[in-house]
Amino acid sequence: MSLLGQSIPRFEDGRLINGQGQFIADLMPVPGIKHVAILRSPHAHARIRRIDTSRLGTVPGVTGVITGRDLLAVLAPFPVGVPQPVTYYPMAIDRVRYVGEPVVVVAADSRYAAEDALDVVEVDYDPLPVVSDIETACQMPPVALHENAPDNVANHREFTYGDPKTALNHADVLIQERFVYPRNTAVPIETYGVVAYYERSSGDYTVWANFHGPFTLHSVMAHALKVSTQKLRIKTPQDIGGSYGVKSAVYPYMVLLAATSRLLGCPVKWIEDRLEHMKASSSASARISYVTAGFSRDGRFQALHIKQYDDVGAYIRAPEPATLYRVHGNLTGAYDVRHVHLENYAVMTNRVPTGLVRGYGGPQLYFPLERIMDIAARRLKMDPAALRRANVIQPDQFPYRTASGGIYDSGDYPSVLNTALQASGYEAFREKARNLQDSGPVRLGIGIAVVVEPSGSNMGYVTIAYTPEERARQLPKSGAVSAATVAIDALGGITVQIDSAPEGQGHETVVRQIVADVLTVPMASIRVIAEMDTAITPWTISSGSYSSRFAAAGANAVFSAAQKVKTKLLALAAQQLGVDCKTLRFEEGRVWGAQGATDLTVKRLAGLTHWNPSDLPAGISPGVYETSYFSLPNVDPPTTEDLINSSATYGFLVDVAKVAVNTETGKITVLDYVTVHDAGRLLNPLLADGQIHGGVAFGLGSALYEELRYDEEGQLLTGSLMDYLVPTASEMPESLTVLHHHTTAPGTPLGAKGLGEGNVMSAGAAIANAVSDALGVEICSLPLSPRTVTESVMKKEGRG
Amino acid sequence: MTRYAKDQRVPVTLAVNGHEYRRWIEPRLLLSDFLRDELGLTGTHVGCEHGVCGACTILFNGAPVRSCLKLAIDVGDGQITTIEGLVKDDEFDAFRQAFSQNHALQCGFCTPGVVVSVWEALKRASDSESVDWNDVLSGHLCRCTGYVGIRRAIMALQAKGGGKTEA
Amino acid sequence: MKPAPFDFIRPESVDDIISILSHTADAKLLAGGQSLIAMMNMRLARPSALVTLHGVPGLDAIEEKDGAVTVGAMVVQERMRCLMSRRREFGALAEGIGYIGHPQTRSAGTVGGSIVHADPSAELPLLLQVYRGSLETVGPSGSRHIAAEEFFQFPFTTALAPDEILVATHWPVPTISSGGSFREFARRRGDFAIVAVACHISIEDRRLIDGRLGAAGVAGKAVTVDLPPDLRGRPLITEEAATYWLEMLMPLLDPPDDLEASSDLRRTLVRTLSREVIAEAWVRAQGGTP
Ligand code: FES
Ligand code: FES
Repeated sequence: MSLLGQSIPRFEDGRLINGQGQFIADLMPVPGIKHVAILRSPHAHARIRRIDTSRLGTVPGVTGVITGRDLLAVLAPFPVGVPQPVTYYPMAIDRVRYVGEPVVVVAADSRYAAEDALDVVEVDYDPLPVVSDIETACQMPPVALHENAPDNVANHREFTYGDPKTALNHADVLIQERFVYPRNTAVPIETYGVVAYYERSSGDYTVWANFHGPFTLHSVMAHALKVSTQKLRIKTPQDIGGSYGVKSAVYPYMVLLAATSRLLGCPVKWIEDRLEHMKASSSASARISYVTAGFSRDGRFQALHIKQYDDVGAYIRAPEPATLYRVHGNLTGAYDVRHVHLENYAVMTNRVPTGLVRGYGGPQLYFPLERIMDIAARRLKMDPAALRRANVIQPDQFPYRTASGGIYDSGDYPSVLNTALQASGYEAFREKARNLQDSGPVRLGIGIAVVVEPSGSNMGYVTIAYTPEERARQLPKSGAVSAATVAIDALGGITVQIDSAPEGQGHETVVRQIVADVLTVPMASIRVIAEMDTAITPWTISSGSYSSRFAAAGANAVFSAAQKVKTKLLALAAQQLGVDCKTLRFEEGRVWGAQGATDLTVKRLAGLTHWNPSDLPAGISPGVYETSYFSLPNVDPPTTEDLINSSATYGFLVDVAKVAVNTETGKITVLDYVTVHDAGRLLNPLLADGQIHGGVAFGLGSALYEELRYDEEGQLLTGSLMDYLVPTASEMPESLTVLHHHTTAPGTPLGAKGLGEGNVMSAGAAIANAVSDALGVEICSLPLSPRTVTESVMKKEGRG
Repeated sequence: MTRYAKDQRVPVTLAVNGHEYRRWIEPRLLLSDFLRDELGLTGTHVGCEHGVCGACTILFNGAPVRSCLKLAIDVGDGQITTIEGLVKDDEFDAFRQAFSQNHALQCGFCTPGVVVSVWEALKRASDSESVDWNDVLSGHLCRCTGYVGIRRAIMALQAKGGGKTEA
Repeated sequence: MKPAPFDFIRPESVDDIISILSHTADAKLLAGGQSLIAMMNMRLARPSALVTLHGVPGLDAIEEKDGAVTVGAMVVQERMRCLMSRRREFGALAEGIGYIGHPQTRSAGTVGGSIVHADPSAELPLLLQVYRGSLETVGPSGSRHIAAEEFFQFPFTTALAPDEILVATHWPVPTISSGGSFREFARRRGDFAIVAVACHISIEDRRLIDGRLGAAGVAGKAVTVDLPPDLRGRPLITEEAATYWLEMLMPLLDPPDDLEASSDLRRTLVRTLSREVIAEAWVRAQGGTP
């Protein structure tokens, strides 16, 4: 029986439960490491007048100090994919642009001593006006953050698909609303960590970091360090304590530490502390969206007009402005809408630069889109479920090309929607909610969110930030590639090297399932190496753990490498046995022919390639070490019409949230949460459910608790875990149901699509829809604190 | 009365996992750093250093506490148990299995702390004390699991141990 | 996030402590450290000397005599909670302590530490006032007994002199037919209270004889009101009576307006939670468990 598809507990668990995981903070990979602490700007915007490090000599144990200007000797600014990049270094040079921006680096014998050293460094600042509001920043800029962006706009693009103007003019009902999605962040329990070592004799850099996609920004980092890529070797530790995207923004620190190692002449280590992380690591982009949606009287969704302003923080940095484009191919969600106008602005403000956070670009899109559906339903006097049912793409429309160029590979949206409505008892609950009106302060509400979940990002989507004319002057970019190596040693030991740098998703286990299935060997005979080394792991620009790409890309690369091994071993067996290899197969790790089992095992065949290569028949090379690059289909560069299939596959999910809202206290209780996913074939349902549970918690946090709040001066108000509210076990829904449909991904051998981000895209919308339903108000911003709830109730009652 | 100067190294003897360790330390050294850096017991993780995340939780005289909010110099003759100590317990195998089978962890960074707290609370539950699991679990932030697997593991262990409360 | 250097002092007696406090200007006492060490890790607190209270004799006993339970300043909150959970007449006490942080912080955090910290939204200062407790302090000129009302003054400010130390809190034991209840509104389980409310009621022959209602998080310190005299002797607490009582509390409120809640929301919460605690305390006083 196939192991794939089974709920197999993880091989990773043993070491992690025992406390024997090896995380970045646990590593001292070279001798003589010094510990780094970073002095950070207390101002959101200021000129640096003077940095005085003269008193450092009074602090015992200090190795050396670096300021921004010192970096100019060894670094170039980071490249970024917009027509007019701004100058971005990993440390402020002469001017600070967000609270927490690095200003001085000190290395010392211990972190304690390094922090003592920061205490005696004096920096004088001349404060500058602070740019905090996204719209003011670009419409009436009080000041330009960067010379070459006088209106603080780092990227602006407009797209028209179909004829949205006419379609909106002819629509019977126009829904117009302004939505605000807040800044929030991923909060992995492990913070960033970097060890860097510059070897003077060779000029080579080695950097260890808990970065889950080292190749994606390898070239960016090498460029900043002014070396060719082979001279920058990046290694990841065996275990990474969660990332959910945000650890991709560790890369400026990798460069900073590498430069520090070079300038100070010793290896250096920096483990970010929690306050540094909250203030200065990264964040999801906040977004203001103006949405106009046109509907016919009978509920046909005809046209969509979106103008969106992203707050990308003080410096636009790679991979931004990708938040605006990651979902470009699935802009219209699950709905068959052919007329779309989109206007995008990436705006710089005096806040920490943004980057990947689970769901990347998804919640910023789906919160407005799915709220619009509910607002429209109310205006059209239709049931929100019925309105969705009337507009979702039908099963016979697949593969479906969206207006903006996405190619939805497969799905059965109406039946997933039905499953979700049934599982939640949608009709009955609505009845119950109606009956409860006017009895006491508690109101019940139910909300749906319907999400097309992209996975396996097309590397080319980021280039849509350029106009077609600008793109024509560059080399095209495309693809979603993953690589894996399956090797067998002389005694039959199997090792698999993967390129996904997992941080908890269980890839080591799923890879065993795949390889064990192909070679019919026990999973225990396989060892999976998940830590990456850019000098050893097959180089793939798109590798790593982001955009839910493992199931769609990484797993297929493993499968195809294992197939290569199988083909080779069977060819060898065929020659040994003198039969046609088509008559042979593996079973229980042994070759079977038409006559039954032979005495050739995987171990024996691999052994032959190692011990006695001179007897190998022609066409069979020594050793077993097969690397396979797997490329997902349909991921082409953008067309001249700006059509882009931004992801390789598209899953689907429907969430239904039931809430009780106390109109007096503002307390929201999520009574029940149903989420139904269609991610194709599930490789390991136990782990798939785990991803979904985590995604729901994450989405719930963004809906009800989490926000990086800043005051007018750009100071972060929620900078510790006491006030940035990550949900605990007690805040989880009272009941949570996860169900699955299985429409396979047609373009891949394993048929799996990514999952794990979907609920981050849906939960904010589902819960906001439920609360809006309960209160009879339209919620247009998140998160929903008791304060915002009571205020919207008062406003409705004309008291606010 | 004894006074140790800030820049003085102070001899301390700490009882950790049944062993006595003698080290010379600065007065300000946090217990979490002592365990990790002085003793190499890196199973105790550090996630916030202000007492919220729970990753650094250890047992101090049998009760779960934050090692990031304790000074190594102030431990006295308290008995410390870290994850490395629990693992040696005969009953730990069943515990590990329940966590794994119920997928109670993903990245595993919060896990040692969670394990320490759940282990202690289960002991109390089996002493027929009633345990408020929301209370126990709210002392730990897990960003991966949504706590679903953790609760399932607890239920599985309770079903086995005949405990009284529900997770 | 590592503490700045400090001298570490291990006193052997309360007298030692007082003499240190009289001679070292910014010495800080270290009890459970659940707030102090966190502040020191952030370098927001940087005492030049830290005086540990661990191992100082006489600070961690719980005793009952002369109609009061005396709880040493160094008793950890979780120990007090466990003990009090068996004392029905202190109905609000264990319940309220259960809202302080998490078991992992209550196992190290001390009763004295929380009281002296005097956070206006904290549970123990509210409870001590609702139970009409008092404090025992020792200073250079001997010991003092201070009623809870006088001890708490402003946010994070108490009547404790700089060279004085809190050694114990006293909790008068209510009559056996007493009931109490505690409720808290916070964003997440274990967070600091936005509003906390506690009520204690004593009855005799099924009639109200005494009670106190209080709230935290709504003024510079916890506020309380006694059972109004005209409710004494009544055979039950009706909705109206409860409202009457809690309306006497409302004028004492001066609720802050912050990120989490407006002043109005805090007032609403006091009303809502007060109704609940009064009703529950009443039921419990009669021996029922609602
Ligand atoms: S590191 Fe101690 S509680 Fe977070
Ligand atoms: S398993 Fe990753 S934080 Fe809990």
